[in-house]
Amino acid sequence: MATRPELVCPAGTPAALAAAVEAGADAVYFGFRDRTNARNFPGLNFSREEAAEAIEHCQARGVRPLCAINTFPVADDDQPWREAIDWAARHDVFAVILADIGMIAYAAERHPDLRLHLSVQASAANPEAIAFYAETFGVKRVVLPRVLTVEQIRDLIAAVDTETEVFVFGGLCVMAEGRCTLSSWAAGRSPNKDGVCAPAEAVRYVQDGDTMVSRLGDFTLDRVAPGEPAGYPTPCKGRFRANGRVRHLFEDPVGLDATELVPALAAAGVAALKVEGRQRGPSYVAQVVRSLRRIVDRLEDGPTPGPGPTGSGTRHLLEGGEATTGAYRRAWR
Amino acid sequence: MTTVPPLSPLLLAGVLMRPAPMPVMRSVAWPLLAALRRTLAAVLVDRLPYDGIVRIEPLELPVALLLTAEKGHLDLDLVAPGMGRADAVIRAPLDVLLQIAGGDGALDGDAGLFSRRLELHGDVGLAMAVRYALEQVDAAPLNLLERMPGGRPMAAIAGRLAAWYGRAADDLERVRQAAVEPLRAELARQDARMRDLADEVADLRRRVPSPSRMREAADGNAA
Repeated sequence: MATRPELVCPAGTPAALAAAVEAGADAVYFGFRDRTNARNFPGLNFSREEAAEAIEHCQARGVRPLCAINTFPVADDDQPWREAIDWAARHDVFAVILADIGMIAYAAERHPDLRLHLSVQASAANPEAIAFYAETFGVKRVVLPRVLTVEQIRDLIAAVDTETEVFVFGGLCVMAEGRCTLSSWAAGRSPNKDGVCAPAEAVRYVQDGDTMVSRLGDFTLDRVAPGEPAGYPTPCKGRFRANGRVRHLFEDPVGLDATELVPALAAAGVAALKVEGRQRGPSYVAQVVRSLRRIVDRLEDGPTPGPGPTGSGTRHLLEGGEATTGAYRRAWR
Repeated sequence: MTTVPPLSPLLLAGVLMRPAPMPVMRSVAWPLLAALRRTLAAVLVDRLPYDGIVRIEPLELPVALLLTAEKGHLDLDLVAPGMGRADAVIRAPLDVLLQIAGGDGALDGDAGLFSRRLELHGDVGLAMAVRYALEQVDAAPLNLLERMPGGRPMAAIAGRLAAWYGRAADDLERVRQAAVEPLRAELARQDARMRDLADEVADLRRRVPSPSRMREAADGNAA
């Protein structure tokens, strides 16, 4: 029988955190209101006071608070990241989620009792990379990049002693995690260093009759016709003219829904299932977490690894209203 | 299309409200606006990237909510839709706005945008900050009413009106469906005919060689 993975859920605001806890999250991850995390959007994230209250709220309910400090500092300005790590250690978070190897080294040396999780942004996708982080810095869990099949995940878990965590629902990134430079080229700010794929100050929506035009800086990303669903205003989801045709060159606006693969992922030995969406509201968090909670709890009831329910009833919340199992099954091949 | 309000009791109510002077609508809404400003100010001021004006326009109503943030101070007012300067405009059916503001509906702000039920214009950063602040304070009118001094009786009345609204909305939806049924049936017939035509074209393409293949065949014969 597959073991029951932990459900790790996003919180961009205290309201979303409360919704995640109430809906049955085993752990909640959040970030500070600055560029130390990969969802650095206006009005989002936690002040230090809100974070302290959030940690207390989680701990009082047996939920593990995880602090995401998962962007990459510039060489001459890593103080905000160090301070964030120091604060998290002092306030008894269950773990910090880090991507930058220098910050991992800092955390391991300065706070040897602080539990370290390796962010998906570190893009560690093979046993050698994972073993390096585990043996050198004591990393306890790795969030796997969304490039592996279920079978590859199973084989990788068999080859490492570190816990693994995989995304099962939410936004999907097709670029090498933590390495994308598309939007920094388009808008001058980096998703890896500033925590924004499409900085809000550079985004504009314009109505051209019934067509919605999304723009990022000087670039038109898409012209969405009436009745067409829209995606995030990021370069990777845009439509561009190439060889005389206008189409999505990198990715259609779709979201990840690997709900049906939860039994297989659990059987493969995954320690935790992660929901993407710190930029999403409490209603998204509540609906998605409740749905996944039911599915994960059912893992204890019956044989595995047969497929789970197809679709989670939450696809209407996904980007473009469309879902994919992404690299887990590579159904496009 | 989000700029066309859905046929609903709210739309009818909005039509009935149109003759009312703005000062009258402001005084009726003032207690709710004051409650919202109190709860929102504490949360929004810390979250705003900079000062600015956001206008929130429910499609069905002849009023819009204007949020003005300046030097750490928040002001709320009712204005006519489209009137006055705004750095950002959020436009959607009222039920979508209430779902997003209340935080417990089927939609959040991103889902509203994906499904094209919500429009954003102007400064997206400002609009996002306002949206996250509204989610944080749980700004659904019923919840605001309950938190106001003496608001519980009004919230109870509003709750009963909401139940009546649900029934009225169902009835109006049946009327709408009956009104558009002939058009819907004709569109379905045309859609089926177009699918048949597409199948015929695909079949013809399979059977008739492409010009490039015909050229290859001709070159092969010549050789």
